[in-house]
Amino acid sequence: MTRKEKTHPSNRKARLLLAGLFLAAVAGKLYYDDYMARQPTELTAFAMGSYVEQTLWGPGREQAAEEVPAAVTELENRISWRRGGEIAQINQQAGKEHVLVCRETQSLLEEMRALCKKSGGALDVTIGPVSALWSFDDSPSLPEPEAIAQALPLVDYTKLSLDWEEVWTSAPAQDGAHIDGITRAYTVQLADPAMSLDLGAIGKGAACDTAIALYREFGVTGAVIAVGGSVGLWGQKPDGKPFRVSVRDPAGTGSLGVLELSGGFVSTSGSYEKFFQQDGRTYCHLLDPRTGYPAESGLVSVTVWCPPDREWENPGALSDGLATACFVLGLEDSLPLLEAYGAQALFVEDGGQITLTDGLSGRFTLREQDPYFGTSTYSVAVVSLGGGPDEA
Amino acid sequence: MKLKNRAFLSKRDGLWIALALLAAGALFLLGRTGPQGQRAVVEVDGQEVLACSLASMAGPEEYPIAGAGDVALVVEIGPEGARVVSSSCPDQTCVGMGRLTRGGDAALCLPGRVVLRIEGRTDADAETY
Repeated sequence: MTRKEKTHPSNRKARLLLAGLFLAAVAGKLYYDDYMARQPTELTAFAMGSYVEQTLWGPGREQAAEEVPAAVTELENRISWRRGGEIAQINQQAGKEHVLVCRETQSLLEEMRALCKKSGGALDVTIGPVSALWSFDDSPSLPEPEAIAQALPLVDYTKLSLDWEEVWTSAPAQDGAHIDGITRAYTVQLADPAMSLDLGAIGKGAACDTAIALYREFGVTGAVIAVGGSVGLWGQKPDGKPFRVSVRDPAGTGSLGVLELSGGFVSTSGSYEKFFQQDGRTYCHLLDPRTGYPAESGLVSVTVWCPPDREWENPGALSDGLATACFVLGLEDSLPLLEAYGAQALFVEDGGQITLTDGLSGRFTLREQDPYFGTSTYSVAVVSLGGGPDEA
Repeated sequence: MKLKNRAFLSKRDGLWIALALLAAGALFLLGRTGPQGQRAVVEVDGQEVLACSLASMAGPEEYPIAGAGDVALVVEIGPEGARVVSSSCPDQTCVGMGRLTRGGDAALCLPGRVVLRIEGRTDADAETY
């Protein structure tokens, strides 16, 4: 027997064994990479006076998540009347000068002004003079009727003017020359010096728009952003299943039920969020711009869903504004408005009745009642946006 | 004449063994991940200040929490869940949330920038309110 014959068979077995182990290692590495790619990045923060929760999947998710709190703060600086940004400047220059604003602010005000009109004034972004009297964010109290009567005529979205003009711009090029072009300059003005904008009804929804724009930019494949109670849903979850959004029970003891949605934006307006009591009456923060007093429409909460892939530039702000407008309008008067925007809603009435528009009827699962917490009994009905009420 | 013994494993074989051990280690670590059960977590201004496993609690216990801006809270954590017992904040929304029992439930004190939440298995991606 030769040396080669004596040593080769055992070495061949060892090499085959090692080859198998190597393939197992490669398979394990590939599985691990896939597993890690499916894990979400989760980040929470405080911004815009709200709790911001993010869950993201896909490439770029960590960088995108880290950018969002600062972007939301920048948005707040720009659109809050309390800060020194564009909205505050518009209020300061009311009745005097046009104020130059960025494209994003112009787009937001344009879509919200259109919503004010379509809602018949149930939402009015010029509600500043009245909301200042109630002061729900600081020390709420019942204003004098005379003060409300004096402030009410100043609430008028038709006196918010949005203009633009084309202007020449000249920017230096690398070779020392100049690049000339035309761009748009957007201006905003309030007609009366005592008028003021208050975008509190749409701020959280607008923050969701800001976040989703960042996710798109960073190539995030799926995400959930919650700013306070407004929710933005982007892309897809790794398992391809619908997003599940829990609707808070107005009784305050947990979840009313869960919406299963393909994407889009969800916002809720509820009388339980902010309120105060005086002389035996309860006053909630959802003011009717037409009366100057808290809305009394028979509703406890309204949740509005703006589906994805529509033509709106600010769908998150839209869902927020629609939720407020629908709360003020009440169930019946909300339906044409929802239909006009292609939106869907879940209404909770004073008596415990839940009504879904037909676009949500197959997407909502009511929670089982929990006798330990003594939750109220809810019944569910479905209403067609294009017609009369249907049985659930 | 004696044959000179040849090494059973070469340097290349050693490299393959090292890669195989690496893969085994990765699979082992993967097996250790997964849900750890429900925890009550308190965060102040984004920083975790308290965390308790609900299953490890013999009974409800109260904890004082110092929030931002001189807001003071007391939270109760027990095997049945967690709740904000009291708060010096003006709006008392956090107290009004009542007892949190499900993964994903949260009580927020915005003036104090305090969050009390239940971590663990949750069947919702977000909550609207």
